[in-house]
Amino acid sequence: MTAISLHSRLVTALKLAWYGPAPIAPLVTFRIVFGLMMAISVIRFWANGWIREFYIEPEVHFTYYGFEWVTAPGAVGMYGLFALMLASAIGVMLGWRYRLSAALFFLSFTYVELLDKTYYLNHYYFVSLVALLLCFVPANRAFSFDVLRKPTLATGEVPAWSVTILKLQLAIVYIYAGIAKLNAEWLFDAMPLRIWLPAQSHLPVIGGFLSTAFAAYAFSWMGALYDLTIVFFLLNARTRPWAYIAVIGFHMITWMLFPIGMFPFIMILSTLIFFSPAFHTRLLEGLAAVLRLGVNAIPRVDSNTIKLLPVPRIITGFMAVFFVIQVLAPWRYLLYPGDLFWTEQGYRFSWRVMLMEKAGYVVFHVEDPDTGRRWDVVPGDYLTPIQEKMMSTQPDMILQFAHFLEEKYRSEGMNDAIVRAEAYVTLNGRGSRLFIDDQVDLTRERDGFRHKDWIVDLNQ
Amino acid sequence: MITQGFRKVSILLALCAMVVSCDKETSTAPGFDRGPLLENLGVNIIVPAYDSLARRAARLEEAAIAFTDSRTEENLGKLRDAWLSAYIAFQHCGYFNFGPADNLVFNSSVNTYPISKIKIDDNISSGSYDLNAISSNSAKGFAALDYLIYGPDPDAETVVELFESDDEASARRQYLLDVVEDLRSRCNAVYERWSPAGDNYLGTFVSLTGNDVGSSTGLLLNGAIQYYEADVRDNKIGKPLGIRSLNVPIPENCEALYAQQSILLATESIKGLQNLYLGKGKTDGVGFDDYLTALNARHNGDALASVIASQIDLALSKTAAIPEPYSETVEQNPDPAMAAYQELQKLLVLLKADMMSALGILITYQDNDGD
Repeated sequence: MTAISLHSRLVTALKLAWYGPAPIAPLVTFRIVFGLMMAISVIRFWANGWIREFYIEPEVHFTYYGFEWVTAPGAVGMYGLFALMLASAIGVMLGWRYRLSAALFFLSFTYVELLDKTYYLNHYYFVSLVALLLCFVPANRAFSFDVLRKPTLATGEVPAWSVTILKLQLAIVYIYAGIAKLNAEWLFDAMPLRIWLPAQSHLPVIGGFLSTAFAAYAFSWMGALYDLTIVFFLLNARTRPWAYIAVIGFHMITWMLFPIGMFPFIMILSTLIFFSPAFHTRLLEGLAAVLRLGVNAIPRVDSNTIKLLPVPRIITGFMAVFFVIQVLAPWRYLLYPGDLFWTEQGYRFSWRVMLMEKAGYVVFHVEDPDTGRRWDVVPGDYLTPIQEKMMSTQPDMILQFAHFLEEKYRSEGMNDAIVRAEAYVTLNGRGSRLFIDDQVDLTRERDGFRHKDWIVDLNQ
Repeated sequence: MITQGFRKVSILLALCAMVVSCDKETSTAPGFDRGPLLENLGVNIIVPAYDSLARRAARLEEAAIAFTDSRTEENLGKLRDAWLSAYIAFQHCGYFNFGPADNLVFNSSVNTYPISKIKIDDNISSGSYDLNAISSNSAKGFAALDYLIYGPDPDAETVVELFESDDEASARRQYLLDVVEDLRSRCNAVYERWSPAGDNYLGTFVSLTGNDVGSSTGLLLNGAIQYYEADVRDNKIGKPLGIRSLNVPIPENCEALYAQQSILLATESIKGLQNLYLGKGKTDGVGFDDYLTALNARHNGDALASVIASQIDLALSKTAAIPEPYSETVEQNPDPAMAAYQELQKLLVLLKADMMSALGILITYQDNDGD
């Protein structure tokens, strides 16, 4: 009896979360803060000179497998791409030609991210995913320039799925980041925080504390616990205010301690989506007052009617595939032998944040089979310091660079150069050790999803 | 209420973690203060090294003036000694390739090699040259002096002749003086920038105790390791050996080619690295070895601090064992050089991967979410 009623209540709740009506206010806030943060991020990126440093100056780019066709369009093209990104982020924020803006932002941002995996960050992946979701939701149907242009667009009510997908996306980020921390090195060795925190010993007041092993363990365990549980505390109305204080505290600490960029602010503002529609309505009305806009910025809705709205099957189907992929992708590492942190096979796109301290050094030995001559190539001659650092610990990038060398020598008339890599890597405080089988001719190896058996076993 | 429970649970879990890990040799990593490290490196090593270089460069200038005034073999001998003494002092300074040295483009303006013989000969013949131009780097500095006072034929009598009775003797004397003056003023300038009596970069250096790219530890280590990799391992040993050029030796790429002192200078350079690592100047103070020891950094079971110290020793002894003149060794007897190169390479891995990783020093300003 109770089981049945619980079951039917759950089904009803799930149905309402997808097909039910929902006030538009949370979605509007999300649109504005996301657009604003993206605009600031682009300006910061530009002002730091990173467009030139990351995408124009490097001679080589490390593209993603399957996305080799994504190439940097030269200086004018790159600046144009970032200008488009900035304009479309502002478009999203203002709700101006919103769908077009969201789509252009998603495309320009994702294109840039695909140019070079050197700069892969989980938070860029997050931004791409959210930008894609924003293309589908009617976040422009209140408090927007689109409504000013076309008042009939205005509505106080949107289908609930459009808010639910954003919460789901945040839940996946946090929970998987938490699950990723449930490993022996993080929990029982407090690695890599045992390396990173003492490096902050110069900070006033807390510097001494950060140098203690206790601090490293406390931060490790608190971090895991935070990631695993924060979404549930945010979902619950009673715990929400405290949970949000925890969100601010957690992300501000990471911002102070680590060079983590805009990510803390993006998360602090994105998690506002969990707050009640009433909260968002008040927030937007306050904003409207400050901006001297009309008081009826957010149309009122009768929130007592329970009804189910029609949702196009294509939306439901697309979202199902989108989220199932995301739920499964972080587990793909189980399909590969060897230590995940060492081989990094199945590492990216899995919300593994701040999990390891890894550094390496690689030199390439080239041999001309026709003459038997052998010599060394130092990657620093072709790569920027950050590219070299990232490549030296990631097998797929080492392979790409070997192929780059093969092509370079082929263009110089050497038909079948043999390229071997001698690489040493240190992971989470272990001493450096051989990373890549230094007898293997990497020009004969192909990139792909198959296991790279030329990675030396971590514990060999 | 739930939040309170949450906090209690968290503290409890953190305590559990402590208990679980108690049997491991974790205890507490005592906080390491980078202030005294920087103080020692600045006061005890860097400033004295630049001071010594500036003084020896001044004596080099005196010797050059004495020789151009009176072109005797004895004065040439004194000039050569003063040159070598200053060149040795420079080997200890090359690692400080940040801050003042970086702003003044110091390293490449005093020690670019191989030099361009054509450019130097042209400069002497035409008498018109601008030693401040970047394009002049290959016609001045220690390497240009090497060519002027030892080459092309190292025989002292021949060299004296070139400065005494050759058609261009007077122009050659002037060029020698100009190159020496340029060198001395640059050595002096970089010292003045560091000196507490001058621009006192020393004060800035000691005060930037952070761990980011712009901190002194970050600047020094990034600069020093890059210098070690490109200028010591590659330029001094690897490139002449042909490591980077299809295995074809390039003897003319040797440092101090005409004086045939390549290995002496390379050895001095590694000693400079050793002093920097150990914090050893006039006295033995706080160095990176102490820092690594304080962090309890390990390397496959051993203390990383001593693994690096031993590898420096090994690289030093293997390099010192390379027969001089290096320009002949690379073609006739490359094995000892190859052996030294291997050890220099291993040292680079320890410095660039293990040490940098253990110290938590960042190499760029880029956003990072943890590798």
